[in-house]
Amino acid sequence: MLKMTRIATVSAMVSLGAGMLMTGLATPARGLTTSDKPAAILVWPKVVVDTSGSLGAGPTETVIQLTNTNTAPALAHCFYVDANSHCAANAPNAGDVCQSSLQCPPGGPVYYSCVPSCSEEDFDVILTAGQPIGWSASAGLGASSLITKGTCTGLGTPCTIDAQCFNSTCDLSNTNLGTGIPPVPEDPFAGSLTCIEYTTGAAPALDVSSNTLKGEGTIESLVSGEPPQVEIYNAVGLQGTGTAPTDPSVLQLGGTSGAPGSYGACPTALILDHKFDSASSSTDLTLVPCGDNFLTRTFGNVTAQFVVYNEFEQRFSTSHAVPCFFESVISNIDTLYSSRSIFSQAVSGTEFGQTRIRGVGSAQTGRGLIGVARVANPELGGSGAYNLWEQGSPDFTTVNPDVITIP
Amino acid sequence: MRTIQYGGAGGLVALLGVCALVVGTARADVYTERPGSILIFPKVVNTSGAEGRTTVIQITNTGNMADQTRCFYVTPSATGCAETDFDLFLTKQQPTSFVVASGRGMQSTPGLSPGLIPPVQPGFIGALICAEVGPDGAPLNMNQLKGEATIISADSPDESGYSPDQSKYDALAVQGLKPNNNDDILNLDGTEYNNCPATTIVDFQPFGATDPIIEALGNGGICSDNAAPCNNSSQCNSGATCDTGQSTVASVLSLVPCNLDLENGIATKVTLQVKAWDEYEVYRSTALSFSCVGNIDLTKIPQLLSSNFLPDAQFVTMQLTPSVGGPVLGVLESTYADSVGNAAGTAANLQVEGAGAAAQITVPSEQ
Repeated sequence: MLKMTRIATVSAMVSLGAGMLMTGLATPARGLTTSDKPAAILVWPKVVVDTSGSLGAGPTETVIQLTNTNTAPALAHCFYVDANSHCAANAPNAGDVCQSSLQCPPGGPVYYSCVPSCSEEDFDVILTAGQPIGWSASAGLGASSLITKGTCTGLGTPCTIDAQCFNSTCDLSNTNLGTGIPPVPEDPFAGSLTCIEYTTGAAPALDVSSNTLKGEGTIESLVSGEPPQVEIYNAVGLQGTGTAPTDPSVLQLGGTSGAPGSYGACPTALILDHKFDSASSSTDLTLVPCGDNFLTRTFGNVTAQFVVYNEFEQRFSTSHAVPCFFESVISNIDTLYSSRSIFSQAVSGTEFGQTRIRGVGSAQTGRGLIGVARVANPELGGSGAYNLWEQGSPDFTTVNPDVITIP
Repeated sequence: MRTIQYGGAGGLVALLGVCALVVGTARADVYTERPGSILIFPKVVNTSGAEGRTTVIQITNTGNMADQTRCFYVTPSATGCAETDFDLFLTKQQPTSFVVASGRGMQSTPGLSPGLIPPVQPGFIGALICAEVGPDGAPLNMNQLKGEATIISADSPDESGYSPDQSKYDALAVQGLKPNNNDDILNLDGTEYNNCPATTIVDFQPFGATDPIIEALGNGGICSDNAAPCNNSSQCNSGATCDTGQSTVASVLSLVPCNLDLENGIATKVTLQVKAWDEYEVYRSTALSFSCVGNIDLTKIPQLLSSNFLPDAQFVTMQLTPSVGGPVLGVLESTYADSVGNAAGTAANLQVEGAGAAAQITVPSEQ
């Protein structure tokens, strides 16, 4: 956990190190989310783990990659959001992870509720200059995989304490000391990960200027005897604007000139291009709200409106709630019967479509959405993940900005 | 709740970005998540044989006005850089798609036909570039285009052309910045169109490192007696052991220069300075070169192999900076294989930083 007990000064400039790249300069902020540029907040919308394969898709794991593109160390304060549902307290298998009431318990004869829930677990990652790290979500990352030794100033020899340095001090500023990445809290697990950039040192402070974090999520499913299914997506970034928040525990995403945000805003709309679902192709969509309250565990709650266009320019629409985490095959967004869905090829009449996703609602955490998609061949296997496109900057004179509140 | 008081927030207060639809304040960068006026698909393949693959292209008009584009297939040729072009016409909000191996006829698939699209030749490895144009064929900035590419195995396709292995990436969109001067030179210079990036960042697993997921959950090894795939020794015959550490991750970097002379077919020669670090901060550097379109097999670059980093290193970050030929755009495709060669591919968009040098795409003029 972060310890901040002194007055902290936010620095907007990042010094260049000799021999390192010019990319250590603070990156000017952009107004919307980004999946192709380093940022100050990263969101991995889809983190899934099922090492035993109990959910039916084979053993599944997510590898999280996080890189510091800066020439100086960086600290990432990260939050896993656990969006597992659990069998109700009066079920014989109370507390078990479930996806529907049919699993509470499996085989019945009486089925109990499968209760949705959201919770969070946070941890720190300290990255050295230019360092890439990665970890399996089910295992976390231990000290053996990290840089835990500093160097004696002026001597260059490794050390962990000053006493190991002859007439010198042990410089621990370029190590991963302080990093502790736990495994995800449950297995199976479905949820998301959010990391927020801080400066390093004795009094870490929110870094809303450097924009040096980038990340990827690699999801692999392994079914015995079949080729692995591998898909990779870029973490979605929110760039810092250089405006420090009045309250460092309340991170505002976007704003007006009179009340500017510390980070870029989530877009008005996400755009998903997809194949309409059929026997040979299905698209899986994952959405998370932009805003969350990790302090009170009042997670984002947004209603997503979907407008679907087929290749004849014909238009359908539907909506669905997004409470902290939403994942669905698109043809199950509007109905349990995929063949009757507006996202099905049978209904739309064409192979490909464009879906525009817009968040609405009045939650205090905001109405923005972040997402990622995955296309798969249900019959033959094979899958690929891709980031969504975005369009439009919200009018914050009429809507509240998204807010992330942290402990 | 902790209280953090700031002694003074130094530094700049950056402007918030404006609506992506508005052609206004110049941003010297390329997007993979916002519609633009130029779409670039750095990796388009149509290969045959046992491991043949082809590419499904999706292009969408995200605007409420009709949009016309000129598209160019680009591939290295004996004389330089060959191009084949065709036009697309999209109505408002219209998505369309085509398989490069077969192109698209006027009535070959459901949906409003965007126009005739020629197939590429067998063995094609190159790129696709599409630019918004007006009714007269002259370049135009409307910033309405988005696209994706799905690379699929050509073996055993289903009726829709999809088959077991598929890798998907977002096209790169370059935004137009002001009313276009409508000539055949597209200036990616921060005034007519956004600049291409100064630096491209590639995160990958070096060849020689194992895949942690396959090693943990899949067949990362082979039995010592009969070479059967295994995860641990309990899966082998009595007395035999499971020799793990056999999974591999192999990556290919596909790059296209932002300087393109499609009118004269002159290939741009590019040299990139490469700086790479593993998670233990071991640093390596090298240079990569290509001409016209680059498909660089990272398994064949000695400085980027796992053996050139610390033994436990599994992740490398690499920064590419052009020294010759101007800025580039690209995607990374990685193939994950278990101990007996069951493999799956995945494509990833690269991250970028900074504004690169001004570049030009010269397109053939409309006759």
